[in-house]
Formats: sequence, C-alpha cells, structure tokens
Amino acid sequence: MNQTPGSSSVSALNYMNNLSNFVAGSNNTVTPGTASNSGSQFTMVDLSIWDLSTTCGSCHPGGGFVEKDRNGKRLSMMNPALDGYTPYTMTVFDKYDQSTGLPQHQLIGSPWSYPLYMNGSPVIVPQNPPNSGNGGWGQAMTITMPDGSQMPVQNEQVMMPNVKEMDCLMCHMSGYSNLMSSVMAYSGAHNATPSFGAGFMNMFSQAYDFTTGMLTKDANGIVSLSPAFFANMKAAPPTQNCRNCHMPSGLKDLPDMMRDFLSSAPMAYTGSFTQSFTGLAMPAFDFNAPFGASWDWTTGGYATSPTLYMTQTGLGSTPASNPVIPAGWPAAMGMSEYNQAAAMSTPGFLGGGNPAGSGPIYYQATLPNSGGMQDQNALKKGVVPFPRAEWFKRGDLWAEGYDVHLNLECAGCHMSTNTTKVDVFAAPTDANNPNTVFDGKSLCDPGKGYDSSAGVEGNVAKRASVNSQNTVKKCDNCHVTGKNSDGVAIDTFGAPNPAVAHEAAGLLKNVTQALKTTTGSDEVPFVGNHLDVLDCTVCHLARQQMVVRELDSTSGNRYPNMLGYAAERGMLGMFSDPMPGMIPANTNLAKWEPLYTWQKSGNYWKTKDNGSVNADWRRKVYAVNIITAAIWNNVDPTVDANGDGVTGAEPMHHAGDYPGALTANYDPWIARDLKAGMNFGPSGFAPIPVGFGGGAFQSAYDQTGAFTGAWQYVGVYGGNVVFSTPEEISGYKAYRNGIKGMVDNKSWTGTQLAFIGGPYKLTHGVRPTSTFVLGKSCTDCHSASPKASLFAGDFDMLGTAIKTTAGAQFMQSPAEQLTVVGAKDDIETGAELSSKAGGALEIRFDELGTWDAATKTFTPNSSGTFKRVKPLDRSTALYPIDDGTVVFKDVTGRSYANRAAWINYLTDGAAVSNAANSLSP
Amino acid sequence: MFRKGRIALACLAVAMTAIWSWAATTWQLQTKLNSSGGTLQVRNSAPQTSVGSTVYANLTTSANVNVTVAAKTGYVISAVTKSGVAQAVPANATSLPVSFAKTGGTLQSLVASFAARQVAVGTSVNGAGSVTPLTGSVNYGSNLTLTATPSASNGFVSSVTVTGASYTTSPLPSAGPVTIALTNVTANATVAVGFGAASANAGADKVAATHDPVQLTGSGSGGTLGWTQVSGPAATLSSSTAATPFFTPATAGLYVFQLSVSNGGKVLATSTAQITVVDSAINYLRSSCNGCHSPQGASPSNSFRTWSTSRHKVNNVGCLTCHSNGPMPPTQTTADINVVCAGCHTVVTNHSAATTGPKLCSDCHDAHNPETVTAQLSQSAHPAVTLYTFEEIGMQMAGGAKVPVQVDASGKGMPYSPKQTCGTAGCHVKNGIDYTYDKISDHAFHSNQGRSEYVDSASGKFDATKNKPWTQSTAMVGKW
Repeated sequence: MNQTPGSSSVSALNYMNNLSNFVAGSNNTVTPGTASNSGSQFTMVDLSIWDLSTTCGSCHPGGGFVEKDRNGKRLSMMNPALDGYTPYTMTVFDKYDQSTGLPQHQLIGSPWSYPLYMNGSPVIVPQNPPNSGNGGWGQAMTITMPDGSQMPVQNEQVMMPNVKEMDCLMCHMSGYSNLMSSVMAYSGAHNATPSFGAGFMNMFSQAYDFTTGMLTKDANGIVSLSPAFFANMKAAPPTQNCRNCHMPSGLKDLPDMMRDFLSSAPMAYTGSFTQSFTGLAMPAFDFNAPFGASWDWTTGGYATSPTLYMTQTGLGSTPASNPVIPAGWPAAMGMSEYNQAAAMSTPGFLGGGNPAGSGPIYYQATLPNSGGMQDQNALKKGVVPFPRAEWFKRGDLWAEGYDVHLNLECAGCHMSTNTTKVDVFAAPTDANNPNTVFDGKSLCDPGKGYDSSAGVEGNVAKRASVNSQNTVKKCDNCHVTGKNSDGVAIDTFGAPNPAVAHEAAGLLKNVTQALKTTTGSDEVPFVGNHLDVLDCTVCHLARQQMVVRELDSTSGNRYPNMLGYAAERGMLGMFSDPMPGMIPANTNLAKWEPLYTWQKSGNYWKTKDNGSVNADWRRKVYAVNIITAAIWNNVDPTVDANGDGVTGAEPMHHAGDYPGALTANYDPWIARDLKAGMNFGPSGFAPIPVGFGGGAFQSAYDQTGAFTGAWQYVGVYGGNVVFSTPEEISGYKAYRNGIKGMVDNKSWTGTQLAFIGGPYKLTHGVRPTSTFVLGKSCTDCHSASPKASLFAGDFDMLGTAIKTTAGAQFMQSPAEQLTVVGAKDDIETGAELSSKAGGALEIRFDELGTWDAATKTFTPNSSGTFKRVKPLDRSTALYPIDDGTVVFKDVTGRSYANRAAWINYLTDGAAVSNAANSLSP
Repeated sequence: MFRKGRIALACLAVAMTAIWSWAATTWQLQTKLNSSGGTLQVRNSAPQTSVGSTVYANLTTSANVNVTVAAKTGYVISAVTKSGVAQAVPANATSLPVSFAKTGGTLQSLVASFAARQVAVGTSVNGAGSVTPLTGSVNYGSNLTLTATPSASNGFVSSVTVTGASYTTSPLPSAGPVTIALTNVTANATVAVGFGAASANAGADKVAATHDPVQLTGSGSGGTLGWTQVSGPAATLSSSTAATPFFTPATAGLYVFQLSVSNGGKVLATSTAQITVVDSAINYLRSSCNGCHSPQGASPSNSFRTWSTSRHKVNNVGCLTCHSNGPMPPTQTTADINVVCAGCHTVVTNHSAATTGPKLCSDCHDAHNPETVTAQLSQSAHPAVTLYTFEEIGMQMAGGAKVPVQVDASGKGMPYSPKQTCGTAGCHVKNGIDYTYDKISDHAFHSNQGRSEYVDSASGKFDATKNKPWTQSTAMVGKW
C-alpha cells in the first residue's frame, strides 16, 4: 500500500521558519488549547540523537551517531549555546499529566555531559591558560531537571562526558550482559554502559567489582584487565552475544524472560532524576508472585510470595524457598507498592512479599489520594520490555534443535565470509583521516545478506558504496561452489553437496517456468528446474515456534500478536514450561507455515559487481514471515499527523507489476501523540493501554484486574487492549477529535486503522533432512493436501488475542484468532509483496459486509458499509490477480481458464506429473 | 577355291613387304616382353604389350634408337637383357630407358621382364600382447589381415593405429583377439597396437545412515561399467552403468556392490565396495573405533571422547573422514595433518602467515575437537591493558593525556572508555590496516546508525532546511 508521492521530496521541505521560532525561544511546553504544534520545535528535534542513544542503545553497541555529529565533534563537547538548538543538542522530554494522561511535553537539553563531583565536592580544574579549554569546561549555571531537581555547575568544573561510545565488548566478550547495559542505556548513563555490560561495575555497588577476577588494581588503584578477562575475548563474536539482541527465544518460564528472552531491560519511570538522567529505573520484579506459588514449585501455594533478603552468607527468604533462579538472579528484587511493609521490617530486604497473582514485573504507580488512580505519566514513560529483535522483526529462529547449522555459530556465515566488499582506506595507518572508501561492510560488520526489508535491498545508487548484499554466506556458497559471492574460496565446514539428493528427488528436471537474464537488464523466460524457481529455504525450513504476526502500534508502544503457541492456554501458552506440573512441558509450540512469495529483485542484481551479466540471476519463490503493522495512519491531505512536513494522502494499491518507484509515504501518528489518547495501566509484563477516555471504553479491566467486557480483545503479550470492533475504532477517533485541542489540534477524522503487512525473509531454522524436507515427491507440494501450503490456503495476518469475557482474569483466559471489523473507511489493509515480474504487488486482505453491533457479528456483503480484515489468500502472493485478462499457462503451453483452474492444476499431483513427464528429459 | 587363292595372295603380300623392308635396312632390333606387368616402346612406336612374342624392328638409321621399358602400376622391372647381356636394373624401377645404335650390330635384341611390386607391413606393440604376423610384405594393392591378442587375463586391445593403408578393426577397446584388416595396401604400412589392462575400482567403503542418499564412487577402464549388488538388503541403484550411481538405503545393514568392467561379454576386472548402513553413524563409530581407542582400550586415547563433543561430530565428520579406511587406520602424521584439515577448511580466517608461521593445525587446536584451543594464545599473548577513562577528562585534567581509571577503596572510579582503552593506534592491525577506534565506530552499521551514509550539508554539519536528515541511512534508521 503506497500513497501518492505528492510533496514528499525531502529536499523540498523547509523548516527555517520553525527553526526561527525554536531559536527565538517560543513556548517550549504544549499548552492545552487550539494552537497547532505542526512544525513546532517538537517536530524539529523529534527523533533526536539522545532518543537514538537511549532507546536504540540497548541493542546497538554505540559509537557513530550517538557519539558525535557528522563533523566528528563529540556530542559531549557540544554546547547548545554555541552549537545551536538542534537534534544533536536537544531532545523532547515526553511528559503527561499524571491524572488525565494528556501531554505536557517539554524541550530539554540532552545531558551529553554533567558536572563532576568527587566525595560530594565539585572537581574544579582552572583553565591554564585561561579560556584555553585546558581545564574544567564547566560554566556557572544551574541545570533544572524535569522533576525540578537542580544540578548546579560551577565555572571550570570538570564536565564528565556522557556519550555512548562503541562498546567493543558487547560483541567480543563472552558473558557480556546485554540486560545490564540496557538498564544503563535507558537510564541515560551512557558512559557507564560498557562498564556495566561487561560486568566491570556492579549494579548494586555502582563501583568497579574486583571479585569477578576480570580486573586487577595496583597499589595506586589503577585498574587493568586481567588474563582471565582476555580468556573471554573472542575475535569472532560468540553466538550468545549475537543472540543477546537478535535471536528469538522461546519463553521457558518466568525467569527465562529476564534471563534469555528479553533483549532490552524493562524500565519503570520513577521521576527521580537524581538516580538517572531519564528518570527510569529497573522495576521491581518477583517471579514467585504471579501464580501464588514459587517458580521452583517446591513450596506450597501462598497468598504472599516469599520475602528475599541479603545475609552475610548470601540470599535468604521468608518463608523458605529457593531465593535464586537458575540464571543467578534473585527470584525477586525491588520495592513494589505491595511489599513496602515487608521492606521496612526485613533487614537486608531485597524483594518479594508481593500478593499472589501480581507481577512478575511491577509498573504500579498509584497516585496518592486518588482512589487507586494510576499515574499515567509514569506508565506511559515505562519501557515495554523488548523481546529479542528477530522475534519482532522476522519471526526467525536460531535455537537448539531448530537448525542443522547451529554449531557453525553466527560467525560461521556472517563473519568468516572472506568477502571483498569491505571498506578500503586510502590512508590505512592514519587514525584521523583514513579516507575511507565505504563498501558493504567494515571490519566489525557481520555479513548482512539480502532481505527486501533489510534496507539494503536493490538500492542501485548505493551499490558501490554501502551495499552490504552478498556479504553473508549463501547456501550454495558452502554446499555447491565452495566460494563466496565474490568468487573467493571460503571455509565450507565440509558442507555436503546436495546435487545427488536433488537429482534423486527429480528437482533437477527442467519442468518449471523460470526467469533469467541475458543482458543484465532483461528477464527471459526459460524452462528451468525447481531450483531455478525455489529458494533453498522453501524446502528446508520448518516452523514450530512462537512467532509475531502482528505488531500493534496503535497505542504508542508496540505489542505483538502471536501464532505458533498454545493459544488455548492463553498467556501461559507462551511458556514451554512455566512451572512443573502446570502444563505439560514442551507442548506449547505449534506449527505454522511461512508464506511463499516471489523475491522482489531476485536473488541478486542482474549484473555482477564487476558489471558483467549475472548468469545466475533468478527470481525465486522464498519463504517469508509477514509481520502486519497495525498503525493509525492519517490520509487527510490537510493534516500532517507526525509533523514531518508530509501530509496524509489516500492510499493507493498496486494490483501488480507496478513499474514505478515505491513510495511508502504513510503519515502515521507518532508514539508520543498516540500515548496521549490512551489510558494506561500496569500489567505484570508491561505498562499497557487499557482503554481511552472516561466512557464505555475507559478500561478493559476493573479494579480487581478482571475483564469488564468493554473491549473485545486484549493482547497476549501483556494484556494491552486491541482495537477490533467498529465501536472501539470509531469511538476512539471521535475521542481523539474531542481532545485534539489539548494535544496538537490535529483532526483524526481522516485517520484509518491500517494493517500493513511486510515480508521478512526466513533463513534460519533449516532442519536436518532426516527430520524435515519438502520436495522428496511431487505431492509434497502439488497436492490438494500438501505438506506445505505453497499454492493455496489462508495466511493469517492478525495473529491471536485474548478474548475478554467479562469477569474473567487475563492469566486464565484463552486466546483465539483475532478478528478486526471497522467502518469501511476506518480500515485499510495492504500486504506489500512482489509479483513474479518484480513489480509491486500490494494486496488487500479485507472484505466488506454488515455488522451487528449487538451480537458483534460480521456478515460478508459486497455492498456493506463495514470492513473485516481477513487472511491473505496464499495464491495471491504467487500468481497474478485474476482480472479476466490474465492467461494462465503451464510449462507445456496448456492454458487454464482462470485462476481457480490454475491453482486446481497446481495442486493436482497427477496432472502436474503428467505435464512434467511429457517434457523431454 | 577362290577363298584359298585369296589367302595365298595375302601371305605373299606380307612376305613381299618384309623382303622389300629388309632390302632397305642394315640392322634389326628384336624386342620381347618376357612377362606381364609392363610395356616396351621403341622410339615412338606403339607400346608393345603382348607377352612372349618377338617384335622385329628393321632399322636403317645411324642415330641411337631408344627403347623405353615401363612397368605397370603395381609392378617393377625385374630384368632387362640387351642383346643377351643383362642390364643393371635399379631396385623397384618402374621405367628404364635402353639405347641401341646401328653400331651394335645388324641384329640386336631387348628382352624385358617384370615382377609384382612388394610393400612392407611393419607392426609395433605397446603393452602386453602380440600381433600376428608381426611383419610381412604383400603385393602392391592387395590386402593383409593381422590379429592382435592380449596376453594378460585382464588385458584388452586399447588402440590400433595404422599408417600407410586403410584398415578395419573390431570395436575398441576389446578383450580380443582383434582382427586388423588392411586393404589395398599400396605403400609401406605400419600397424601400432596398444594393449591395456582393464581396471575396476568400486570406491572406498563407506559408512552411511539410513534414508540418506549414498553415492557410490566407482571408476574403471577397459570396458563397460556395470554395478551389481552382491549382498545386503535390497537396494535400487539410480543407474547400473554409471560410475557414480546412488541409492537410498531404507534399512541398516551391510550393502556390498560389485563394479565390473566388461568387454565383449567378458568380465575383465571387478571390485567391490561395502556400504555399512547404520541407523546411527555415531553409534557405529563408537563401536568400531572406540573399542580400541577409548582410554581403557587396547590403544588408549581420548580421541573419541573429545571428538564426540566437537562440531566434527555434529557435521558427520567421522573417524574415517580423516583416517584412511582399513582394519587399523593409521594415525595422521604431523606432516600431513594440515593437508587433511585443509580438505574441508580450505580457508581459515583470523589466521595468517604472521600468526601461524610453520605451525600445524594441531599445534594449537585439539585434533579431534579443533574448537579446543590448546595454546591459550590469547591469555599469554595479549599485553596487559590498563583501563582508561574518557578523552574529555584527559583534556580537562591532564593536558590531553590519557587518564587511567583509578578507584578508591570502595571501588568507585570513573567509567572506562572503550575508545581510549581498546581503540588505540597500533594495537589492532590487520592486513596492514590499523583499525583504530574511529575506523569502526564511524561506519560499522551496528554502531554508526547512519552517521556516515548521508550528509546534512557539504560540510557535514546539521542543515536545518532538511527534514530530519540525521535519521536517514541505507540500513539501520530512518523511515525514508
């Protein structure tokens, strides 16, 4: 789904006037009223570098843009008074009214440095000579923090830099803790993230920890790395370090959530800026609390979880239970709203003492004297713990038992590639001016491969500079040629050649309608074999894992809707072994089938990097997961929802083979504005949207935590409300129009709930052929009941959600297939795929009908005024839309009357075999 | 009466003519062809072709009279007698001029004889076998048949090369005897016959797992290849005549296949291959190898134990992959272990001549679990590293010098700076490039977050007239 490009040229935009307003010091807080914020200082510095550093820094090693501007000037050496108010120096501090949740944002300087104190006294170093910079850089002033606390700076006080330098150890140190570095990154303590991530500094003491054996100190207290530390240093990043951010992981139990599932730390907003620059801190957690029984299941049920405390000999608990989870974490830590009495009365209190059914993570922020009203500012600023990125990004899997290549480690294919597409330095020994000629990867870049969603796809303009395609080993590199894509010999790890097995399976017989190029630009049909049209992944992948199918971004945070788990067990179905005896272990994973569709650009460009024709170019079918983004998207051409200078436009679908450039010019509302409209509440897993306004949809939960029945669905991941009915959707739009004057004065009338599906290439999860492989016989795919739904069938686009039966509890409620219905103009859908000819193929997955609000029943009707989001027809992802002009022909030249006849043929094993056998060998 | 009278008149006429001629000459030349195969020609008269009859030429001239003796094709002049005196005839002469003069007498004669021309056929033999007849000669233009016979039981005629004659032979290679028929031999000919020894190699014995395709790796020469299954569970080969057919065993067992090389229905050579198909390759190796090579075995070793935890095991690189097959696989010597490793690990990164020198793989890696690095290079080789704090502290407090991290008694101290600690020039040099901190920080896509791919302005500074350009990159950030 694309919008008309219109005025989307970035270079045409002019923000000078806005900048003038900004520099002139216009009001830097949003004042409820009618003034539009469009083009305000907020949009100017939105997505500031400070935002990048804090939010992206939990996974990104740092350095680069979060350390310095494009002139190489370190952000810690910048001064807004000298360098201007720019996104480098300033940031928008998101702030909401505690009670109403309406915005009160303010502009603040980014704390790239802070005054240094030692033993409570400012460190003053007079500049010598004066104003030389050789001395403390502090200038007398008082910095007022968002909570009102003040940080005085004295003249010539030493300023401690607070940039996030590139953290070498995040990748190269075995045992690096991404969770600890994440806590520091979210806290804004950027200079400390390397120290905490490596375990050099201890979170409890906030000091260097010499008990780990990794550090030594001499008589003067000078700190050095020990030989034991270097034993943990690896030239090729260990797989676990990659997994810290990238790889998905099934949830075994609650401790596993912290130990292995999350790539970024959960953070709660405390409002205390004396502890962190962002007011965020790691929330209390208690893995003993959610089910009224200990995580280790050795103790009986209880109403209040054990209280954990520190002793001189280690952790203890009352009543007795195992206070430490297997990964070494305390089973509970931190003060919640429930355990304050225990905390006050227990020497060495560490955590626990929470009521059964609460937790495991505590975001509660009850306002004083408000009858249990939750602090909307605290909840909206809390950080939703982010699972490992590949789970969100691709639904890909790289886990024990799921990939035959597991022991090659990530580096086997992504680092040890011998690619020639590496940076070149004209002055390689000049540290300051190496004259870099950028190519696909630097020394430290893993090979990135090819994916239509990877950002490196098909960008001809960048081919000779930052093109990182072909920097990862492909299947055939090891299994067939023994050379990488540059023709350089590689370590193949003795990969077996599959030619014999392929021949034995008949896959090398020329029976398919394939495409090649003869000139480097044309596409020539020819009769090829199955390997000419099928990517290796189609036959060798198998999926039985939890996967994200929809990412709900309608509330300002992102909440996943999943498949591949035991939906009937609800949230507990996400865990493979939540507690012994609770559900049978390892029975919660369900099979799901990828979508099979055409590579947009083929398997590489049609020319090789040296300009010659790429005779190996093919456009193949590959296996993808689609992740559907649910966003509020403005299509009103008079409204610029996100303030980027591009207004909304009516969506435009390309039915296939659209030759023009793709223009993904959505106008989605940004997170800050989205949060303004939702009521938030705490859940045991994340701060979540629970409803909007004060009317019928105020909350999906009552004071006891039971469902009110006001909403139809909440998400499985944390209990967030999910828009799914015309009443919820239209009601929310009306509500947003009602509060627009208190937000940004922008109309929501032209806003749609858009479901945009994007393909994510699946490459991992290659099974041993002894356990799974497709294509051993024709009927594996060419059958009415195939082993893989290659040609026909439904592909779910929404995932599952918890049905909110009034009075039921979230944890005990099953999930089911999510359905979404809205007024027809309020819903838009589009799956962004590619046709066999490489054109844009944007497929709607919805239908019109009528809606019975009383029974919540949708009835398909082509003249209806409501629209239902339905599964994607798999056949549309492979073959042209049947508009009456398309001629479907098989490889023998036989024509088929229409699309249905064509699919019937392809799923008729006998017919397909007969056609194949009629061809010359 | 009348007829008789006419014959008598004719005879009288001849006699009268001769008498008249004789009366006009002073000397006579008599010529005769003593055998067929040639002609005589006196001066320019019509060539004399008739054998056995004498032709008389009465001459008066005082000039020399030349007589040309010429052999027909396929003949040579064998003898020439001039007035009773044998003349010298060059060998294989096909033309010989003989001159007569009046001074030679009133009656002179020339008798010429011819013989069939002989061409020689020579043979040469390369290999074990014989050719009969070994040498010989034949009349020009006639045929000759030779026979080539291998002498070894697996021998075969591999080649026949003939120069100087047309020939036919039975299809080669052939187990023989092979008939070589030379036809219309018109020049000296040579026949070169090559004999070969047929061979069959069914390939190495293998261990394979059920349900995985197994490829036989046969080779042979000297005939047609043919596979037959000798024993074992029934298996269907993809081809019985291809050198490298495959089959997919359904059940475990010992599959024995024989490769035959046949020629003309005669089996010249055979070889067998044993495919041990097991349900678990690992269990097989455990029973076959570890019996002796366990720590308690006859040949104590930890090899199997270390191998069993390696990626070699995971990737089905078993004992026989590196150790040759046989009842007692020999230990890889230090001389060839690098060759064995390189069979799979053709390229090894992070190793260079500077770092490995003449070392063997096994000098640093456990041979059976190479991931176990025995040399502990990193710990001992890396110099001590002091932690340094951020560069701005050095600028403000130490005149620009690096400031080490220093802690108080409670361990409190400034955080360490990766740039100052790890990114120092001269520390991480690879392929001649000094990878100082900025070289990586400014571009590696995990770190640079789009900093280097677009520029805000010509100077690289932030340009307020552009719409959030700092978010643009080709990979990691930005919505455009």
